[in-house]
Amino acid sequence: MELPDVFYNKPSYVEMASGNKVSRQTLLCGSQNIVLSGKVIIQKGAIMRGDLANVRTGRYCILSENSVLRPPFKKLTKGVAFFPLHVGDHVFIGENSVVNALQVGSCTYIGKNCVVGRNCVLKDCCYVEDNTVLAPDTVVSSFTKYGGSPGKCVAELPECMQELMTDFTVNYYKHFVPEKI
Amino acid sequence: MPLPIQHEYPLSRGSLHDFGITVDKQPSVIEFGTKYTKFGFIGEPSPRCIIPSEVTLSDTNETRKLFSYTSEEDLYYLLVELIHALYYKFALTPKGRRVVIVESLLASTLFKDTLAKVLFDHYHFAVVTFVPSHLVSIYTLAISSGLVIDVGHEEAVVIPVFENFPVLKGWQGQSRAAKAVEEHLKSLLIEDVEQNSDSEEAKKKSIELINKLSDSTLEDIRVRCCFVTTYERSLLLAEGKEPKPCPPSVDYYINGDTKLIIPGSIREKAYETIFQKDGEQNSLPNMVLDSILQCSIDARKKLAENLIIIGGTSMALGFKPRLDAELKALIKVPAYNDKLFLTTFKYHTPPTKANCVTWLGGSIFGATESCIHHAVTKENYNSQATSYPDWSNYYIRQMGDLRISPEL
Amino acid sequence: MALSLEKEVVLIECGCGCVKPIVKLFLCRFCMKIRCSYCLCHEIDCCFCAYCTMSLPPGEARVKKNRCSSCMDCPSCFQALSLRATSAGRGASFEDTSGKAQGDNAKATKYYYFSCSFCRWSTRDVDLPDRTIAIGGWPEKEHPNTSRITELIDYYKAVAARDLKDKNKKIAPKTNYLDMDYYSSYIRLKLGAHNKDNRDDKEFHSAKSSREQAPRHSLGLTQSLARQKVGLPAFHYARDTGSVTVPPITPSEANECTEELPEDIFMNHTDLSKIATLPQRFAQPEFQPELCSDFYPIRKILILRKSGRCWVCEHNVLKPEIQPISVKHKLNTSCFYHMPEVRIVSVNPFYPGKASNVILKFINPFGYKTNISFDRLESKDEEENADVIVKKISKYDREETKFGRVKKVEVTAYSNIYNRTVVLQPKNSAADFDDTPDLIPAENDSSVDENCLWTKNNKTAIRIAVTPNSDLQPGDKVVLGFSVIYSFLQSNAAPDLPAELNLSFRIFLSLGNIVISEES
Repeated sequence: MELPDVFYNKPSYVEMASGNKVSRQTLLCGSQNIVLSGKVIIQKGAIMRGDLANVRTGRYCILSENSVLRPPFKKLTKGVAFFPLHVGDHVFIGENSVVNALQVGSCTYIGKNCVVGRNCVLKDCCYVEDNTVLAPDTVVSSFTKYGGSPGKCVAELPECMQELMTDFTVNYYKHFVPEKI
Repeated sequence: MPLPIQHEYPLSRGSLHDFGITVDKQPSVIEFGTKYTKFGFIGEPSPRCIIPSEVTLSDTNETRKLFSYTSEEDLYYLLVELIHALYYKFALTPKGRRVVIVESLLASTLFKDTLAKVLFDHYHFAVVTFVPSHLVSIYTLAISSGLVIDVGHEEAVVIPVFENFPVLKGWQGQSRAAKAVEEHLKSLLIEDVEQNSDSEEAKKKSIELINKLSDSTLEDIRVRCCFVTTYERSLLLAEGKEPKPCPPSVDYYINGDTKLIIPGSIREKAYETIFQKDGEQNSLPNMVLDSILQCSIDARKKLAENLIIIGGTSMALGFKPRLDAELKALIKVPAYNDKLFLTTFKYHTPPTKANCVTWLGGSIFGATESCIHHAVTKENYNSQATSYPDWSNYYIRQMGDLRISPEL
Repeated sequence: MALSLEKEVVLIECGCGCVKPIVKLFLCRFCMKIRCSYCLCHEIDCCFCAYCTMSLPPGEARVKKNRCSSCMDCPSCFQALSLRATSAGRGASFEDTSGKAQGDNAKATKYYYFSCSFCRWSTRDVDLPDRTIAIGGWPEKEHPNTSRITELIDYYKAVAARDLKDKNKKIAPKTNYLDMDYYSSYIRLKLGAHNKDNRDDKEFHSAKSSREQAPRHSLGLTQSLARQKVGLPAFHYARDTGSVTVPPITPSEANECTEELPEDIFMNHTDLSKIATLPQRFAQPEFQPELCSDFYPIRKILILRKSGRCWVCEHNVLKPEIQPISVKHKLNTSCFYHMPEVRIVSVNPFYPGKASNVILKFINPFGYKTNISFDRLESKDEEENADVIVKKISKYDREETKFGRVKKVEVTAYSNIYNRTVVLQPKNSAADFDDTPDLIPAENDSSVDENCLWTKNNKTAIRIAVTPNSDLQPGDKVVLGFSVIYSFLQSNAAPDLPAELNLSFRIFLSLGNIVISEES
């Protein structure tokens, strides 16, 4: 199926020169630690916790409404340390999902209402189904689809996942258009 | 003048090619049970995986049981999906491979034929051997005679094996197995709720909850909460009395939140459906004795002293002692005491868990040269092209033997 | 959700008869047939652990039963176990080192144990001693009866070899272990006439004697005969004149039932959290622990990176790169890159027997102009032509593989798409990223179809009228099927093959359901 247009309220979005579209109703804590590489869409209510550690996203990332990107912490012998969170290119994060991962690879899809636990590593080209809870320290390898609670590998993905996600995020960006008044 | 041996056994390059391939590839053993499918490799002590015999269809996301097929075409489709799931998981190429299928002698011809069609036509297996599950079970014990009592999910089947021949005349099969127990369990739970509910509303709610229980939850209740009670207590239960002490009830949590109380009496009653006699004096112990009775008089003692209890349902707590007590009591009943003069029943302990015995038998048999000898190759199958040779097939029987190739 | 993985609305028929979405299909570049994962030969390229990305060669992985030697899964919830380090150890290894602790107490020894961060199970729960080394070293649990089973296999192998040798010598064997020919003829007769015992025995004996005269290897061919045929030396048991030595084995001994139902089951409270569920038992098929106290960490199953070969011509269609973490492929002939993709843009409500508009989008994956045309599924000519093409280009005169039929898709609608042609512009990857406005109307171009709505780069949308069959009931599925013929340019074709080909595939579109209307 072809993507339908998604309309947004132009005054409530900031459009940057690099093509990023960031809603004004987002919470970007520690914005000096947040890097958006371009053509990134951050929708209403999303939270990025740059105050904990660096957060970097690649190109064509989509953060849906009320999603949370939060760098993970690790318990060490002397206290707790936060680790930077890297998100690759062409990543989609669904509504109300909380991402606490160490790394989210390129061309990855995270569905709605997911919890990606502490220090998870999502490799390139993987897929997390809606309503999945990934246990802390889970490693999601390439070309696998995880689902359920606790998240388990439920299927394998086609080898052309990279193109599918590229196509999807680019199309999403194209269909993310201002409301016509 | 006798013909040279080459003409007697024509051999084309195709079949040799197939054999060449099979030597390199590790052959696999599959047992398609009504509930669980066991998959593994020949010569290994245990299957690599035990998975439910069901398929999740990719287009509708619906999970379907293998044995819920409606037609041959439907079964074909389900088998294609299930075999793909098994082989893809282990990254094996079915083409040119050898496989041993462990199946019951009483399996349906439609299933066997369709399976053969899937294996040969769709997946291009080179060599397929169907082995009868009851016969191969005794290979795990290195004995030659025994009475194999297989209590699975759908039905309990008793087949005597005497000097390595399954004596089909003595077969007994009844649907007294896990499925019946689970149905009984469900009806007992509903009955209990109907009698002991405080309010009409609570009753309705509980009944709705019980009716909604999935098969796997019922199975879980059966496996983890229920047990087979003793013979003495079962006599009281049969009279409708409540033996003392009553086992404690168990709080069962469905999905971790909804509480269902399993009363102690139900825990011990659930398995009674296997042992209690119905109007026609049928029960598992009766099946065992009837089966022995069908065999020739010389074999009876040997069979009674070589009982092999297999199948997942027989792993229930208290199953073996109960069967033993029932048999000892039943032998004194007038119907049997003047025909069967048996005093002792002896049991074998297979070298693996009861639910994997038949699979292990297939694994052991598959490792021998005999297995290849009894196999059907793809070439043979294609030249026959009607159905897989089976003992019950009249056409093959007409030919006087289980031969497949017309030129042989 | 528009990621083409979610819903399988556009399905294409594979060469083996399955219908699959385009992303799951491959095009064999040599026989020009569509292949899916069901009709590919899979080969393991590399095995690696998803957790520690340690890769193993396939041979070694097979020995290790495809399991990682250092990473573990939780036996309770099947999640990965994480390694915990403490300075205070427990269990045996703690005692071992405590003796010499005086010597090197300056250096604090670390103790490691596994713990599940999801369900909080840990190796300490089942009293497994802590380890002093971080990676590996967890002993592998073997099947409790491995040696007995090996003994059994050796025994039966020898018995089978002896039987076979006896048969080769054409001497009636004394014991017919494993002889299913005999038993099967026996049971057949027994079953066929179980009331007439006398006749039965007679029949059995006559069958037996006729069986002895007949060639022995009536079921398939034995390896020894296969070897004889090609002049290879026969196996040792056939060659040597002595008898096969069958290793001695102690048959299993039957005992009277001594088991009893534990008395305390009527007294004690049953704690379900201590009894393993069936999935937990089956996760360790070797031991099938019934109690949670018997749990043992499960070695993590290795992930397999597979390459695929066409089933018929055995050419590669899929070959991943060797590094386990790489997502690139050396070769990937996914249909996604090798045939025009069809997408449904919009559909109007359907009524039985009435035409509705459907907009389809075609995407050209090639770097050249492609013509596509459409035909009916039933078209016989087209199929024959396609076969000719296949024969011309496949110089591999291998057996054309026969596939069994798989569930057919029922087509419940027809449309006016047939006999129409669409020209798709070449793909330009750079153009995808520019921001030129969408929807360029193609009206002024007279050469294109009037129903062609717009063209942008390599994408073209057309409008078609779809008429569901008039006998459909409200709520029934509307499925449209047609075949697509497109031109395909062989970039690196062998000189004797034509550079341009017309290929076709059969496509099924699930457009939706018949409207459940109130007025009718």
